[in-house]
Amino acid sequence: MDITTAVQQVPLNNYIVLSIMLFSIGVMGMLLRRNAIIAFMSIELMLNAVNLLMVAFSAFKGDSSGQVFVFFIMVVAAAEVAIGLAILAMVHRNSGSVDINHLNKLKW
Amino acid sequence: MNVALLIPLLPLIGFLINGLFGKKLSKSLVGLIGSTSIFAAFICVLITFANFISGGSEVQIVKAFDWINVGDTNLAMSFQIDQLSLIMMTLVTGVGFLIHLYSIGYMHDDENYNRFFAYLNLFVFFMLLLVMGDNYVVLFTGWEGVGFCSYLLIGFWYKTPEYNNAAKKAFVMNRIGDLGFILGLFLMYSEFGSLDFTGVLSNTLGHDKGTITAITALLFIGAMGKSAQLPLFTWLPDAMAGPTPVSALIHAATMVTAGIYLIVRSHALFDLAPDTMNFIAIIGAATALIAATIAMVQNDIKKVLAYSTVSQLGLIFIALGVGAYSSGMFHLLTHAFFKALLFLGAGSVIHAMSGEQDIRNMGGLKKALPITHLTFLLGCLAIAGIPPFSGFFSKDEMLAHIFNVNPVLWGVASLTSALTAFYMFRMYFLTFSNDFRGTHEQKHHLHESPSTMTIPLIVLAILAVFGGLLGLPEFTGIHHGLSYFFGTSNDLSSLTRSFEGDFHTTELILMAVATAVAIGSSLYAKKIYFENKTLPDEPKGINKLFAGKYFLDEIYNKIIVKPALLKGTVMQNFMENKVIDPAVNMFASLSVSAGNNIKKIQTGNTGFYIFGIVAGVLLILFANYLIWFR
Amino acid sequence: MNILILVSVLGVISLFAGLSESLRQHTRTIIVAGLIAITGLTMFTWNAKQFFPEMLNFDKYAAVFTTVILVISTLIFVLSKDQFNHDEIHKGDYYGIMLFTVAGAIMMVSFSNLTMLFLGIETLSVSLYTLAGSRKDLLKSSEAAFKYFLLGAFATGFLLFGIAFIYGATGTFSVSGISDYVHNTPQLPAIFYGGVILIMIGLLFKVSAAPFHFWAPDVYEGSPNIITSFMATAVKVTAFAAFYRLFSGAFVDVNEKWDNALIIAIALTLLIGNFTALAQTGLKRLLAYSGIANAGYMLLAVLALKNDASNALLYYSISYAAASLGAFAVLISVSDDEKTFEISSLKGMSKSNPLQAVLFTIIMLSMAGIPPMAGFFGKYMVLSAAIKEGYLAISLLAILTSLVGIYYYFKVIAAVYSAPDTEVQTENKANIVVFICAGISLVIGAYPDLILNLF
Repeated sequence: MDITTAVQQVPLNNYIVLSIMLFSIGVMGMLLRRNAIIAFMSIELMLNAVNLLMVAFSAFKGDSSGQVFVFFIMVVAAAEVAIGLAILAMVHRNSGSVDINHLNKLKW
Repeated sequence: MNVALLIPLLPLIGFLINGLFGKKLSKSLVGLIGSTSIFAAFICVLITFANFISGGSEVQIVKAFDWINVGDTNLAMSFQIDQLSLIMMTLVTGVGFLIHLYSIGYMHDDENYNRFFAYLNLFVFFMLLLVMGDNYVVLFTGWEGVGFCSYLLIGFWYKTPEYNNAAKKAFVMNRIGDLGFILGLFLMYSEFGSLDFTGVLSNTLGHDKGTITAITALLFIGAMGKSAQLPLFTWLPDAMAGPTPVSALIHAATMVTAGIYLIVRSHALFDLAPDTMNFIAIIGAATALIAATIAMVQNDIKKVLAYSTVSQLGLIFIALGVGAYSSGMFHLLTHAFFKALLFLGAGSVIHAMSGEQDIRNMGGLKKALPITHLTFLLGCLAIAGIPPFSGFFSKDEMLAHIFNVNPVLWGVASLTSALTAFYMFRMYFLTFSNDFRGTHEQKHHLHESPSTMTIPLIVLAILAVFGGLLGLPEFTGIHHGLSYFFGTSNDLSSLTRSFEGDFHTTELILMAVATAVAIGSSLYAKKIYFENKTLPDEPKGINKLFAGKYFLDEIYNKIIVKPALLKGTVMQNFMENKVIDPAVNMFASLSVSAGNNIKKIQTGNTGFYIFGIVAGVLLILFANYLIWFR
Repeated sequence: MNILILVSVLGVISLFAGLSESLRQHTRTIIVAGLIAITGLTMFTWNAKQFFPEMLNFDKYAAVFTTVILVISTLIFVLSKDQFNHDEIHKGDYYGIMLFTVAGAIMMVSFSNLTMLFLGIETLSVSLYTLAGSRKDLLKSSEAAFKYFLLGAFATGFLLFGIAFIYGATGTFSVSGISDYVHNTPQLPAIFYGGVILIMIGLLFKVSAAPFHFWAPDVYEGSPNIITSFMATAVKVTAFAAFYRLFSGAFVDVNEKWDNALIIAIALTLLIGNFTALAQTGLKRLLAYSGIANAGYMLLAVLALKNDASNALLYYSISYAAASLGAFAVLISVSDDEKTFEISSLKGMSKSNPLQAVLFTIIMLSMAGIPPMAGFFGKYMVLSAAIKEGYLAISLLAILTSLVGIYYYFKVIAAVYSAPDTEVQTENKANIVVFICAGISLVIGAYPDLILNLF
């Protein structure tokens, strides 16, 4: 059984529901956690929900471009995290904290 | 580049140079630039004229640039070169140049010399736009521009409050007329869908008669304001507060003729509106008579001339009202010559009298001012309608046309002419003959004006004497210059009305009557003011009415200005201070406090921002959810 | 395509030039010359349609907006003299990253596939996160970078989720493929609409429209001046061009399904942008909110895209970018990155630098939408486009809020002309960029046809 058929064993709706749940967990993580590292992880979770959805659609549509897109997302996510951690390191050096609510000098 | 484009450009350049750098230039250079720019424009007009004639008198449209492009409306800053605009251009630049030249001497001691020349150049620029434009919008631009320059120049000596009031009065009265004009343009645009002369005037067929009447009536209201007709004429005598060259250029020769130009230019419309035409004739007649009677009892040399101008413009409007456009234009030309001459002569007198303007304090100036005296006399003869001076021919032609249409109007016009001859010679004799009645210092100071002032006088006097050659009566067998010229154009040939049947005998009789009346009243004036040496005293009886200018100013004051001011005060104290200001301030402070509150949502807190974004996503998804399953 | 490669190569050159101390001094000059050459090339190949199959399509729209972006970037490089002196060694890196941002921007205006849109947005954004934090010694710069990154990545999540939904419905990422699908399918699935809304949310974030605008004021204020001016002009224009390109290319036929969402966003943007700007005392923050408010007007063009409002959008983009860049150029000339520059500090500019005061006034008048400046015609065009499409209520709101706008722009002008607190030295100099921006505001205001005839 090749991988496409294996993916198709599960109904498409289940993938969609799972992705929406994963995405929502990511959003909730962003909303509820104040640690910047956890926020990054939540964003990764959201992106992975997208990846899952893309792959599922790709398999069901029999179209490979969705899988190619997933690679792009993964590359970009890696780049983003690299930049993000660098920025976080800089913030930590300047303010001594990684709490996302700690930074509120710029307002109004 | 077409030479015609240079014509308005040159005065504009003159204005810019004098306006921007005039303070740094010497007086003689300012005067030179001011006059030269107009003279160069005059030369360009002559070149254009020659090209026009040699080019077979074809109407030319010269486009400078696209001006307004909105939707389907396309208005270009472009100029129409035809017989009518050429005559006006020649007049404006020619007389304009002479008056600029005169101003060099007249304004020599004024500290704001450069400002004066800058304004004067700007005026000529706008006046040229007015007469050259090929659509009503360019015409209106010039119209407003000359009104604005007139305002600036009347109030030129702005330190005197009276002069400022005169300027304001002129401005306000002109605004009333302009309101009519612009409403007329709106109506015209909605009816014709165009504001081009060709677009409007060549498509006059098949329109509602009432609408055409309304358009023409509104345009005439504009003309009333600018050309000082009843009931909007009271600003013109007050406008004499400006320097005398300004009175000569703007308030006698050019700007006040703009209303006449407007009607002649739009005659294709006016021909279709007989009601408006009758209205014009009646207003013209009333204005002519009323202004002439007032002029009889004025003692200020410039005021006499001002009322005389109003009266003469009234005569022209009668002629327009009976459809004698070409005659009206003819009188407009000769009037420009002799009235500019008279004003400049008066200016020369005032110059010699160190600012004195009351003719009761003059007298005997004949010897001290020989050139001024001679030219002034020629001007008087011309305006009085004594043959063979120019005024005789033009006035006579108008009178003949008026008689042909309506003898009653002819009666009014003839009476006006008789009064004109009387008050002109009254002024002449009081000013120049008998003994000097002024103070000792004034007598000592009397002198002939410098040559920059006398040369324009001489040139204008020649024009005033021979200007009649432009339009000799038909029976002389010589081509009527002006009618012939208009006749070379298809659009303008209808300007000339020819008499039906054999009118020559009647015309000769009318001429004889007019001449007799003119000479008679001149002699009467001579008897009273030269032989009997009577001096005007306190006006009695009906003269009181005349001297009080029919109390029009007082009436306007009572029925318009006072109630308006009262309303204004009420509005100011109640509406403005109690309602509008607080409301506006409330909105302002509400907005600012709203801003101060709204900005609080920008907490600076990243967690809150994320919350805001999620809330926004939900809001938008929810809004759309409702809409999908509506 | 060639343009994209050339800009990227220029970026790489800049990275390498930064390595050598002698070359580093000339990097900026090289870049400006290179950008001018590339701009010329873009205009030269105006009508030559090049495309990279299914991915990029260099049509007229792309060429015009690429030119606009390149011109703005060139002006910003001209302006960036002495702006990176705090970190001499890394100058070449900053310039290089700015050029990569431009490369991302070019992808965003010429994409014909959602993959390229995503890559363009990310190339642009990731570079900007870095640039926002380029003053490593300043806390506010770090804070700006952090907020921008966190919220930007969060919004990217929504954008991608939307793209995934669209892909699920249509089975393609190509814009023309999606358009065909919309044409040929009578009953579109719900996930398609969900995808459209989510993509819209992602893009609304990028154009800083409310309620996704929260990052903008803080990031604008915290970033170095030169980066803020870049974000407020080139980046904003790019985001709108991409927004318009995607929605007019793929979703125009279903616009009744998303226009209500957009109207809500526009209304909030206009209100929040304009009213909050009223309450600002700092010039940079005022310009940030003014940028939000202007986003509201530009969104009107997107709203009206059914009737080809690309002309209105282009005109508005140019007029806004010119005015905004001019204002930032003035700001850069009078302040540095470290302190907050208050509007009241502008006092006495009319005495100390009359030339700049006059130019600044022209720029502010254009922003406020006073005729005959370009800003007026820009507003006029987007509003008339929206009204023509029947969006009356939102147009009315836009007109009313623009009156609020006049108030705060005139507050700035009033400050420029009020008496200085102390005696000042008069000098008459203005940056060439201020000159050019004021000139553009005047010239295209007087002759809108210069821009409108481009398409």
